Amino acid sequence: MRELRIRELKYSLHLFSSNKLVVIGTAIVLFYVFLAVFGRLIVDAGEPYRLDLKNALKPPSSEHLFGTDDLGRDIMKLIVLGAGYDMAVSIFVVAVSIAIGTVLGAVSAYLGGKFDEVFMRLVDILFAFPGLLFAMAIQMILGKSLFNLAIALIVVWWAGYARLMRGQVLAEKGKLYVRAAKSLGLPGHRILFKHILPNAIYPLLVSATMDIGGVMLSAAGLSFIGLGPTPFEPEWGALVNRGAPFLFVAPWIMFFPGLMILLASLGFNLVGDGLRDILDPRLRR
Amino acid sequence: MNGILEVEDLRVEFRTYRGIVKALNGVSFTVERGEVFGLAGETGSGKSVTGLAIQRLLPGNAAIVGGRIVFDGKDLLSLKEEDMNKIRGKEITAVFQDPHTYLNPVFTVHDQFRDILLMNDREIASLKDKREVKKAVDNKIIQMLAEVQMPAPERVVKMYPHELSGGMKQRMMLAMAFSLKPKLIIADEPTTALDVTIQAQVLELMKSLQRRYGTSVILITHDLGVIAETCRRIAVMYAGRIVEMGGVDSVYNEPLHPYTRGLMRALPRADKDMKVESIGGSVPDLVGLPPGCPFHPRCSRAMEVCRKLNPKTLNIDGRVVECHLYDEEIAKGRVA
Amino acid sequence: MKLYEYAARRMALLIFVLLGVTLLTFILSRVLLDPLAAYVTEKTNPSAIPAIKRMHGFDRPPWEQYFFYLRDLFTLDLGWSKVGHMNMVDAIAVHFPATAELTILAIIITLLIGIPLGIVSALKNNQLADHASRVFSLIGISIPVFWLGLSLQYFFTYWIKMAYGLPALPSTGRYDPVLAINTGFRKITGFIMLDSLIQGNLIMFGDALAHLILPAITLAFLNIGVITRLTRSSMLEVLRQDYITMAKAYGLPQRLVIYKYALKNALIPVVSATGLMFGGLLGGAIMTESIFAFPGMGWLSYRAIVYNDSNTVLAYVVVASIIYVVVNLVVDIVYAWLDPRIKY
Repeated sequence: MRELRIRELKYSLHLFSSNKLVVIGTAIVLFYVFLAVFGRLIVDAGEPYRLDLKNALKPPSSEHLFGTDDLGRDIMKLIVLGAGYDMAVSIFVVAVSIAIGTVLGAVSAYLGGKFDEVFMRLVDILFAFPGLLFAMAIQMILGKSLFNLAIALIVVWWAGYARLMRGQVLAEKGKLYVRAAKSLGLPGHRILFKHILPNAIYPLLVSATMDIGGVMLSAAGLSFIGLGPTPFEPEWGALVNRGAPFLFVAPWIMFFPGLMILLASLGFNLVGDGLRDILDPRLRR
Repeated sequence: MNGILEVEDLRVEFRTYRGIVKALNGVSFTVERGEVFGLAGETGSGKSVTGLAIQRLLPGNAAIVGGRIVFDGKDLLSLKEEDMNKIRGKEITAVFQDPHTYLNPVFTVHDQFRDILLMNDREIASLKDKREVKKAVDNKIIQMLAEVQMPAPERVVKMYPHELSGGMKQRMMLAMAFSLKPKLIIADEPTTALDVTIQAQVLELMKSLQRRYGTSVILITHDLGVIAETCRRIAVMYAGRIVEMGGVDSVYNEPLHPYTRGLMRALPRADKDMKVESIGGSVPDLVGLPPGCPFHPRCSRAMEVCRKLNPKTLNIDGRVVECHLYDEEIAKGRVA
Repeated sequence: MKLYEYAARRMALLIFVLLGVTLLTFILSRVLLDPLAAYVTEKTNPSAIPAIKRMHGFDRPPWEQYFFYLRDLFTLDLGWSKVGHMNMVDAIAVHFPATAELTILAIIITLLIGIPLGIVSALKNNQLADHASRVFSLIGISIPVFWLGLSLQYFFTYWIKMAYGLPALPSTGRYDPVLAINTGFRKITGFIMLDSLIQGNLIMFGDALAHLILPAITLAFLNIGVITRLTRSSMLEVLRQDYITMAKAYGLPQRLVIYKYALKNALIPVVSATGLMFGGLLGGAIMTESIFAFPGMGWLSYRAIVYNDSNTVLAYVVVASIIYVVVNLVVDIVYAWLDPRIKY
């Protein structure tokens, strides 16, 4: 059995490395993680607080690769420092959303009946709400901060996973091996966790990876609107926000942070997309 | 040659993630005009691939890498796709195994037939007036359905495939296949997906239609009982080759190849009193076939030479066998 | 079940969901946010506040307030919009057509580009065109909407004139009011492109289009990626099906097989996805409209957030939710109608 698992993993790895897009995506993600973790060591952490009005609004040059903003701060340095925020928020949001959503969704599907009906109606109501606005409203209630931004996003995102998981569990529930396990007398929760979940995991993995990219965009978007980071946190969405009023005068202020958001999100999406191909059982062997 | 179809040394390969699968390794046979020819074998023997290859309907990752297919005097493999397409539906038609997946779910029965008729029916093609064409098509469809004893054809034409039973769908397929009056029909497991009682009905229908139209049929199936009932000649396939071929009576009563023998022994017979035995082992992996006879790992009478050399195709009293056991030279010269 | 029975059943469900939405909105507006903020500014005399409270019924117990809230919704009395400077209902009537026009144009662009791209990708599976379109789609879903809007705005309304001397697109707004007056344009339906065509006013038509095109492309970009991938995977799935082999076995020509037999099946999920997209966009693209100062529902609600006009925000939420739920219903019904296999 173990030998089979190892062979499967080796085969997955082979598929993984032979897919050019996935390799590029992984490289981007790794680079991004590197920036996020070690950014503070490379660049002076005090950059956001440094005002140098003489050098304000300078276009990209050899001294300031990405130019300077309205306060004279070096944009590239700000970008490096800001790498961690979005990533931390995204991973946190996706992890917690998955935890809550999948458990609730799976349980609801497994229990079925009235509970499932009511639960799904609640999820429908949640879905009917325009997500962005809901997140905004929550922020307004809880107060502006990155953490509350994350909370707001979790409240909006968990329902998606609940639905996904529920669909998967429902599909598996009807399959023969579940009925077999039941007839053997296995208790409900054991069937759910040990047997159904491992099979339902694959699409979830793909979804999770691509969602990190998606949540990153939402987090940046909310920051762009002004909800989330405090003025001196160089989160990338907030940086674009700063650059918006100066669009025609100093377009680089908004351009480069936004580009970085694009690349980071793209990296995760490439990996997620590649994972989908690798995990697709029809394409294997 | 009176044969409507001559297949010579056909070789087909599939490109897969695991390597090249040699699905057909030199298949040769002839189908006579008006004959029902049985192609038997287990899953993976290459019988369905043979059928698809003749129609040149192989999937994208497959390729015909050798051999000749001559149909009614025409070399099929040298034809351009448009010309091959003209033969499909008019001169060669097909009946497939699972009627549930072979019918387009978003079209009614009427619409499924319509395009096919417009494309392939010579009479309808000759009509000019649009209204005439429509009437002709409508009438022809009802007529076709009546011929296959479809209950309430006027109602059925408006229904969707999922509203019909398996037997009804298969009748539709037979209607399509026979009514266009082709020269050859390739029927791949036409009754396998049906209930046993329906199977018998559909089989009877098929036989009567064949007798009426005199169409040549290649019947591809693993069900030896069906072949016994309908075919005159049978070819037994294993691992991409024909291991034995001959008249149904003689092959069933006196199988020569050890594999055929095993098959016959596994078949419960009403006329003989015997134990039903299965053949040990499993079908070989078609990626990287080892040298020698593909059946030798499971053969109770395997000899040393079987492990090394591929058996030659031998002709014995009108029967074709590929087995070292019947090779006189081996019997004479080599030591077993 | 017949189709209309299915529709009726779904509508009952819709009402339930909408009630839930109104309840949630109510809780947000009265309990969690300060309802007074819409009616009170810094200039208001503090002693007048209790009177204001009484006037709007904010001093009543919650369940009474909810009842009045529902009643008001039904009679379309949504209160006053601070940022709209008019009755909420009027504000919506003015701003909604803008968002609707934008949405329709965005969807048209999305489908015109996305579906053919998806078909080509499927037919040239795993070849260069396929890989290219795949990368394009992935980029599409990775692009931050606000960044794309700003970049397009910079390039097409400014750079294109500065660097190349070409005429620039307008950067904000929905139409040029001066041009409207000069060409004698009158509003009939509120849909400027439609109205200008009705009046034969091609100048206004062009002007409206020029204002719409950049925000529409911004909105479409992300969705093109989604539609392309969906069309591609759906086509690939369908092309593998046995009934396609069957069609080929009976001599049907390649073009017929692809465009009639395969596409009819393959487009079914695309239709539902488009419907959902439509519903989502109708809700108002807040970021895009703000960047282009396009006076639609999204723009209105953004300003409401900035100026703490909770009344407007919540009215917007209710409207957007209703649209979403109704569109969902329509999509489900259309889906059931398209795919004869769906049992209802």
